[in-house]
Amino acid sequence: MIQAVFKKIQQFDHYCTTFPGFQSLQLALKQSLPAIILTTYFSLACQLFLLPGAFFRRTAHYRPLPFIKPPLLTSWINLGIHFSFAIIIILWTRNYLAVKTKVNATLPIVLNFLLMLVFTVRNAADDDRPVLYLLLFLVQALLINLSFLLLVKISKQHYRDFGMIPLLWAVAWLSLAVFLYNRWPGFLEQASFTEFFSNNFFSHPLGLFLLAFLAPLAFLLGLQLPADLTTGATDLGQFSTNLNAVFEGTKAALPLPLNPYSVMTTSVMVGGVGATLGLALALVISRNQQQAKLGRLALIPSLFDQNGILAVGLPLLFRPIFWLPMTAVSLLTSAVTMVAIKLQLVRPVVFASPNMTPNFLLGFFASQTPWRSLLLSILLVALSFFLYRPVVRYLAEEAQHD
Amino acid sequence: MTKKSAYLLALTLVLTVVVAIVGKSWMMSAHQNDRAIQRSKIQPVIFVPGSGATTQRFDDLFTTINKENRGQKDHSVLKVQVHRDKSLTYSGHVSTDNRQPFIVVGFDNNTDSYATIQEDGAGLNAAMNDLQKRYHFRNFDAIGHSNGGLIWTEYLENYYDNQHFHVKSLMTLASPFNLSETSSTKQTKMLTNMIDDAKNLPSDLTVYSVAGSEDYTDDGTVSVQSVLSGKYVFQKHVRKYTQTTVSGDNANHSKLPENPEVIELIQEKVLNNQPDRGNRGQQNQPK
Repeated sequence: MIQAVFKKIQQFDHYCTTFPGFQSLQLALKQSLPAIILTTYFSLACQLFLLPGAFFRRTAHYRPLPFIKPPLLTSWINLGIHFSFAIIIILWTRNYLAVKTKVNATLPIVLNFLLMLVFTVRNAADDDRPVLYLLLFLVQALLINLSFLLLVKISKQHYRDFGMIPLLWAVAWLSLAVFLYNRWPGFLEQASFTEFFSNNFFSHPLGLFLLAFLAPLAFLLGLQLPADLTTGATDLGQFSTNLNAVFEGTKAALPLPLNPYSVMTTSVMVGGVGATLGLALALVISRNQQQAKLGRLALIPSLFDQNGILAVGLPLLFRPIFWLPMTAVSLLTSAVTMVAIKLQLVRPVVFASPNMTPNFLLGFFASQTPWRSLLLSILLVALSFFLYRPVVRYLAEEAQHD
Repeated sequence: MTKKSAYLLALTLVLTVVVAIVGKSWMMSAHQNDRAIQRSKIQPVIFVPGSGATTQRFDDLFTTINKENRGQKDHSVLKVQVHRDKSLTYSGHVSTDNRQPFIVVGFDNNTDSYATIQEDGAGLNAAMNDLQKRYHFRNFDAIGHSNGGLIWTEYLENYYDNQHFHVKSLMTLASPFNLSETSSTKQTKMLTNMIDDAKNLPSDLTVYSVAGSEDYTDDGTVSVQSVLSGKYVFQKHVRKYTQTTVSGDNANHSKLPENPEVIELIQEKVLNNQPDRGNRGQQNQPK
């Protein structure tokens, strides 16, 4: 039955590739790979070595070099992220309009870039990591591109790039976008929803399965996951409750052993959303040279749970073919973790660990059964590796046929 | 698998091992203090006096409480003076005879201004970290008189870390959350900032705000409206927020800590309150 479902998804994936918009988006994602690689490795270097809370700075206790200014580094990381998104948008605009029209499409490309610039400047005052939903920017770009095509159609033979009417069209879009950015809904700028995820529903297997099901879907659709499921899980009420219990008595039964921190972070988020460390390993040993090269580039960031390179390099984003394996891996790894906790084979993670601790090692660091938790992590990575391997092989065959 | 891939896998394995060793060593040393905390049984009540007051502020209160606790061990009293350079001077002692010793944290710089409250919030953070290193406690209750309640709020919003501490309750006595502003519609900068930062407050905190009233508008120093403005800070961000107004004898600002009703509140809500064990369901208490 699973094979039948997978076949249906393959067919749907093929069907999607017949749309110029989809094809051009996939191409744009791959073309933006160098920008993503640079941003990812720079961000990784800062968060491991240079920033005040960096992993090795905190654990190895060394003093920073005097000329390194943390606020500047944070600004560059944020700029890199915005710039990478801008590159995706303008490459997609270029690729899509090249297929759809013969006219010079410089103006919509410039317009889309300008809008990303306006949004970047708007976020410049924030010290924290920006909240960016790629899907929203793509929808904005799609509307701009479609309206541009309509403009060209209406102009018939008289369209002139940067002519009066096109410029007015661009100004109208710019004004509308600036107006909307200033009225951006608050929840779209919220990086975490602590009160919501501290609800007891997410301390129950049903709630955690729901998260494991929805997280990969949200990721594939270009939506940023709440920090409560990643770096901000230690702000959740369940974390405090369990920590307090441990401090009352070392071997105390934890009130909320199943919670997003103990289950999601140590299973679904190992290597990034969808437990993609296994996917990176499957790519590294692939016989297809392109896949192996991508795997090598993505492996070390995946160890530290950054799967941006895989997201645009494969690409994972907006590809229906990845929905089933990512969801299956997420549900299976979270189920195995919950069973292991319920059967008391391992104690759940209760302590906080330094920033950028690989989720693969979180159980080893922060659980009261470190070695058993490490074995469980190895088992989960192995599971995800074997589940992703068929998809990697399928993609290699597809690439060969192309 | 190519040679490049094999080398990279080996490098990744080495990196994983290095991260595991370095990180685990750090976790073990960081948690040595935690193991001492697990063995410790004290849950102090930490008092912060208001502007212009010293660490002697609560002496009469402590004497009264200890007298009323006949048959039980007296609460020991430790006083900590935070100097302008954040250095600390200790006097008194903590005895483990009683699980709830009283600790008073006073400040050299205790003028009546928002800048001082902010600075003293940082000073309180330094004192709390040092106190934990010395006495290995995690759970505590907080009481602040006048600007002391504001200093506690500043600390809880900007410095408190639930990975190291667990504050069970905060009681503010005549704390002017809107400073000297008597209007209920105008907000001072301090109140605005505290409302903006209220999302950082611990969600399982219980807050008791006590106002004194001589003539139903103020306690001789602080307006009741200013104390009531605390609701804008705490409501919807903490587990429970209760506002009480006391009047009658010893209801004026400086005598409020010795007010019999206040002493009764401290006994009932802070000293005799059972510790929470297993907060299942308490996250959803109406706020």
